Amino acid sequence: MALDRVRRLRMREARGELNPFPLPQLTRGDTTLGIDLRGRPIRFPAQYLNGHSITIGGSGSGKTFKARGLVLEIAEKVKGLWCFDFVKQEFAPLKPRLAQMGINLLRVPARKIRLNPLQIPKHVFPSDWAPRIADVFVQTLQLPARATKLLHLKILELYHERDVMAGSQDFPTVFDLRHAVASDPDANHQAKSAIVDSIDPVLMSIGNVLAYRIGWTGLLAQRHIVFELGGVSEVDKDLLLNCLLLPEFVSRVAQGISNPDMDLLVVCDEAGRLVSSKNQGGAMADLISQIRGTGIGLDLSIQSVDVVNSVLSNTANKFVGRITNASDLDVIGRAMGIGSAERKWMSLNLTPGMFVGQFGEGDRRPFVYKVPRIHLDSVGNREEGTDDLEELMDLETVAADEFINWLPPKPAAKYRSPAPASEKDHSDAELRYIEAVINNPGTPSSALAKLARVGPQRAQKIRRRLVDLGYLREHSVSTGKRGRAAIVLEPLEPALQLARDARGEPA
Amino acid sequence: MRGGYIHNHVLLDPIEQKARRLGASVDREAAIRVAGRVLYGDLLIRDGSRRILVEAELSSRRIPKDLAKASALGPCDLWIVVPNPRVARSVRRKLSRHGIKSEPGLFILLLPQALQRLEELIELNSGSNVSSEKKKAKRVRQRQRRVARK
Repeated sequence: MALDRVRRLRMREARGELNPFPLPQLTRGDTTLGIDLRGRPIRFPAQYLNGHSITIGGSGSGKTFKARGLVLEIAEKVKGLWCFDFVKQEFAPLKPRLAQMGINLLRVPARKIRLNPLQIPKHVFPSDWAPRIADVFVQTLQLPARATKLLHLKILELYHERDVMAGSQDFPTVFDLRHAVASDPDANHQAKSAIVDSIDPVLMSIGNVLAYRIGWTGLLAQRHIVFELGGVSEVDKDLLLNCLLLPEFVSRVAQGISNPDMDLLVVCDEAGRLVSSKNQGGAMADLISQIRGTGIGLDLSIQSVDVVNSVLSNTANKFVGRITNASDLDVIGRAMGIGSAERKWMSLNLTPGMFVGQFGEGDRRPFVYKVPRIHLDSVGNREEGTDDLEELMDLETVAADEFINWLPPKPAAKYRSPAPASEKDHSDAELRYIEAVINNPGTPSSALAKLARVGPQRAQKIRRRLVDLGYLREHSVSTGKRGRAAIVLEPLEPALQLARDARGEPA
Repeated sequence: MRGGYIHNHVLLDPIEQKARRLGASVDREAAIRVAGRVLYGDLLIRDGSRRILVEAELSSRRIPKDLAKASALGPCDLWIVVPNPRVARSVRRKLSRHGIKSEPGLFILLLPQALQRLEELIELNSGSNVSSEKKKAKRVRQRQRRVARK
């Protein structure tokens, strides 16, 4: 009899059906995670989530149901809860359920958010914030590295101009930053062009979100909010997400608070873009190590383990759903201390809604559990959530009305009007250059240096000066049979007058 | 005189000078009657029975008028001389909008190309230096040889 049981177990073991994971001993705590394979609830203290969580599972593995279940469980235990709907409305349907629990889940569409990325978070020095936010712009807008320095410099200049360094609340906006960069003639051209070219579409798309000198601040962290970012571009999503999370993170780090109870849980479904290994310098990857112990819990759901190392290192709680990629299973399995036999079982037996979990505290052995399927009615479109904004109206904001419905300025005129200049202002070389231009119409500028008897570099400086002063005008004309078009100069009336005066001819 | 500095001094003057040097008769701002109105062609070059209307253009704006002038002039070549390839592209686009892709006797030329073509067209000058023209001449010679053999 006993031998039969042993034989049956060995056969099940050989077929990979035998669950190699021990039954979880998590029976105490105020939060329910799910049920184990015998149907008993798994409980844990909500404060375990202070150590950050990561959930990995392919599409359809049940990540969203798990996140929804967590939100329903945790909502009344924390002061603030931020959920991010990046594509579909995954958290917004929880509103009626949470309302039954007496919690008002605010739905905030992307275009109704009020933000100023250049606003200094509480307890943070302007000089500390400037490089941080410059990095955010560079990463989210995918600017060249050279742009970081230019943005950093311009943000600091704007802070000085507006006395923000001295404590003024008259913060510059992203529009001010764009104008400051665009109007600097000495700025590195490539960096300047990249910034202006990248920032203009953002300002045209979500300009009304950013047209605030003071946007929503720290009090947002005491509300339960679903940010519905589905209707904006990926760049806009990245920027909004970073600008919402970063000030809160940095502010708490700056306060130096150590290991308080968790009072804000941030739930990001489909957070792959935020923590992707391709985004090594990303703000989330940078901050996740620092914010541990500041009272913010982070719950990230991703489809692949292709993430920045610091994310796996700093997420104490790990949950794995159905994964069909062997390398993903190996990486996360090793990170959780799961052996090859367990990994094989996982690859064969994990079904949608079934997860292998590991907490960073208490019993650290991995365990198998199931999450309930929470059926919710769909909610209306994003605009219907705008009623919830009334709740947020009590947050103090200062609008920058001059930038509402902003459009990028048209390029400046190519040629300046002639500037008054006296004959004394011109050197002999300049007069010779003007004579050469007048006497040799259609000659490329490269050939004029020899005719004016000046060096090529000096000729170039003379040409620029005379063009700026309105004596000459540049044209692009093909003067050779091949190669790019040459610069051909046209003498304007002041130059002709100057030449006549030099020759002593009447006007 | 109509036209600005680039139009007159950079584009038309060299063509006019070269045409005169090669012995052609040149008429600057030639009056052309188009549908009862008098329009002016920038440069009308006459070399024997050949007539070339040269129009310098800095943009594609006046192309329809150039076509009307050439058509009113009767059998003649129309050279649209442009300062750079960008304007040339723009002119080609404009022509294609008017349903003209390639028309015998219609050329869009940069200044150096116009000067080269002028040399090639007028007799007693050096042969073609343009590879496509050379190939064309070679093909003609080969054809003549084949005909002679038969």
